[in-house]
Amino acid sequence: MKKKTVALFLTLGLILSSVLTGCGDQDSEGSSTAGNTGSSSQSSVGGESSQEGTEQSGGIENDREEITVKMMVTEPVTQEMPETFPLLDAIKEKFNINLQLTIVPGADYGTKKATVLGTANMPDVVCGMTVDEVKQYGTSGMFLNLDEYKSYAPDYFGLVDGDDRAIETNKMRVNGQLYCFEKLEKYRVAIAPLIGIRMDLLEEQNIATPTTFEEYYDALVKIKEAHPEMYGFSTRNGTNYLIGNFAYSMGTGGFPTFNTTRGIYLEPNTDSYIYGPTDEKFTRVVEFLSKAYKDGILHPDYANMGKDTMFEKLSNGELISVYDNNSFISRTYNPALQQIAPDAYFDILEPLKDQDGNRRAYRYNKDWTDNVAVISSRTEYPERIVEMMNWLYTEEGSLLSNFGVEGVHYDMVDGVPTMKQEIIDECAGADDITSAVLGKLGAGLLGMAYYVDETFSAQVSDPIYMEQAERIAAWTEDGELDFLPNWLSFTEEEQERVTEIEQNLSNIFNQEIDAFITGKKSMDEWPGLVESLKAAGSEELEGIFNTAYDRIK
Amino acid sequence: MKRKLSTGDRIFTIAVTIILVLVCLCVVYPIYYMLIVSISDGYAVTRGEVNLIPKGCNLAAYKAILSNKYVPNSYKNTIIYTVSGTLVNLVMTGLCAYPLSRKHFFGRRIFNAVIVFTMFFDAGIISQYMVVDSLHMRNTIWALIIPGSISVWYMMIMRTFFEDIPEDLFESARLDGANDLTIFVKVVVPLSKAVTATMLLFYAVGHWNAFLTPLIYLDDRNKLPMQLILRNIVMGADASISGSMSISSDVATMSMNIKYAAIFITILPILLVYPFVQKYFVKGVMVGSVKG
Repeated sequence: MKKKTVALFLTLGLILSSVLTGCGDQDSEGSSTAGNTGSSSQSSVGGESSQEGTEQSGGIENDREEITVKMMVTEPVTQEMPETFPLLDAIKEKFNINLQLTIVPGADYGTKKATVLGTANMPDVVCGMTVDEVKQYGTSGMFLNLDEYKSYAPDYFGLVDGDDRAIETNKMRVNGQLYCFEKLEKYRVAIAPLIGIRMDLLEEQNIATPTTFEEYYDALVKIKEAHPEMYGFSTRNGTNYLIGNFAYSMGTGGFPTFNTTRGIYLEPNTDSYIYGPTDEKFTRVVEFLSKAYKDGILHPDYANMGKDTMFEKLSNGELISVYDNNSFISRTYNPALQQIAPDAYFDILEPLKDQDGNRRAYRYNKDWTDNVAVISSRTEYPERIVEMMNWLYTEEGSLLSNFGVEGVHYDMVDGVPTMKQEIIDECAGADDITSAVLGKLGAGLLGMAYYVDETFSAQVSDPIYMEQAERIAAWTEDGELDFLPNWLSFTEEEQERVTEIEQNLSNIFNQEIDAFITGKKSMDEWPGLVESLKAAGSEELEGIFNTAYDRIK
Repeated sequence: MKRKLSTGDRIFTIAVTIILVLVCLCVVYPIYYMLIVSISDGYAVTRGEVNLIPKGCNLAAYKAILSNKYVPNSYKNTIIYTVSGTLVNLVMTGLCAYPLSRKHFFGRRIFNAVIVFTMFFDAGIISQYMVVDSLHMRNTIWALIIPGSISVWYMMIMRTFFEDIPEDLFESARLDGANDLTIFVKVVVPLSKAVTATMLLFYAVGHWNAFLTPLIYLDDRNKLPMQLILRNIVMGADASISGSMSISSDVATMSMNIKYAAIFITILPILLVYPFVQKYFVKGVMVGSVKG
């Protein structure tokens, strides 16, 4: 027994000493790297030359020490991200920066980001952040405040502070400070979520292309009479998503463009935020959907229909119309439908006139707020990283990050960058030629481009897709399509209140809305719901949004 | 002589058979459905025409998955992580369970209590990540193996099993001059095939399906296991709208096939291994261990 006790204490002593040794190592490491809290590593010997923002973009001399910058990027689920590509070589040559990429599969990038940010273990640069994440972590001081490095990023600030972007940029600021490099649109193949309708059925029934909601509804009814097994439309993401499809176009708003949680929206006529469901015109939407449900135009399973089920119903010809991205309509739904009915096809409708005779609908945000880059405030080389990021917004950086190397991957044809045919041929047979080519070059929106030019997409896209893009661009010019505005930034107190009120409003609204659509409640009871929503703070919510909006206008 | 069943017995047997057949169908049909969808024509699947028999048989979904250049490497990684991880698990769990199963082990109750405490009160993923990072295990195989080398729950099962081994065997071994290590290796382990096989299966399935741990600890894409790569492929096939990106009809219609083919590729090795290990679950625990 005594021997065992001695052995036990000896073992415990050994374990304790190991633990303490481990702690000692950690301490010594901590002290040896004091002041090196970032994850950058200096790979050359010698002092850093002074670089106080004197260089202008494009004119940076590569006489500085070589450094390694760690960047975490996502490999999007639809496009490959290679280990090496021309842009990395160019960055090495131009800035003497070894850009070391940590490539994380896109499907789970959110978890990875949450872990590195939550443990304050972020690399020098994290790409693929959403603006919401920037707002969430921005106040913690872990991101570099780009406003303090404005002189190192003249091209970027020139773009985001321009007249066409300044207000939207301000919405991304956290307590007035800008922390992210946004992916900006240089040229984009226009895309918008719109109503797509079976044109073959319109022709079959000799119905003119609808231009108003009344005509649209009548057309659906007439087709339904001829094809009783069909339904007019449905949704793939629940009731609020369905409401969001129609509300803005009907002269009111709420749950804008696939946002299923926020009933508030920016009303351009008054330039103020309004909580949609309490707006007088909102009854138009509910009455429209309720009537559609009653007449068998709205699919009876609309509330539970997911993406796959809706795709099934579009493919087997069960739905007469669909509200979705024009790209999905032309590239996904039509070919699937034509497997069983070669002459059948959906085409997008011009935004329909509402009861007041106005046409309007949303198209996606001008730039890409769900894909921004932040720099760690603990990095050793903030100036050099900011310069590097800024270069991506220059003509040279944009061409390289969107098309590769001139003469090798693309040629300038009449001033337009045109991908070489042999580069395209290398990816012949790929499901999506655009993603396949850009994936090889680490280029484009889903690659390392921050000033995004989709000219290559236009070069290889289907003619019908491009024709739709032209129509969308024209409708935008005519003021019928509005870019979806970014969401506002709030102070911490405002944010707390907004979260609380929005939760309360959602609880009430979501509980009641289907009863009105399915006819279990009559529209006479609608004012009661509006009162409940007001009592739950809808007006206070509008007040907070408008106060925040006034701050940045 | 065969006993004649009463009417009540017959009804009972028929009812039980029907219920069991239904239960079996409930279990087997989803797997069968996955298989037939994965080998059917994408458009037929999209239209909801595949329910009982495959339509337009092809292996396009499997080709799409296996043509991904990261899949073979990730498969290799998964096998390495599963084999080495399970081995470490079994050794560590056995070494922990054995002393705790011995009644004369000093401080047994305290050690048990401390170890069980960790089962109920987890420090959370953030602190685990920081420990792994500070031990420089991040982006190495050790991050997947060391932190989870002992599952307290499995250790308790093993400990209970060891406790049931008759004390006579230990006394006999000691009389023959065996020390604790010899007893463990030459007596306990050979008598514990059933529990070892069970633990092996539990741990191996855990490593095979590991998802979160490699996701947060591994940075190098070439070190990722199959689950992460397959999930990316599945999500790629199921791609949602992202800005101006959209997917072609061929990809969209194949999404269900690819999803199910990926699941099938993932579960197939475990399905194949299971029948060989399953017999240990039903085997008598102490069969043949005590004689005379």
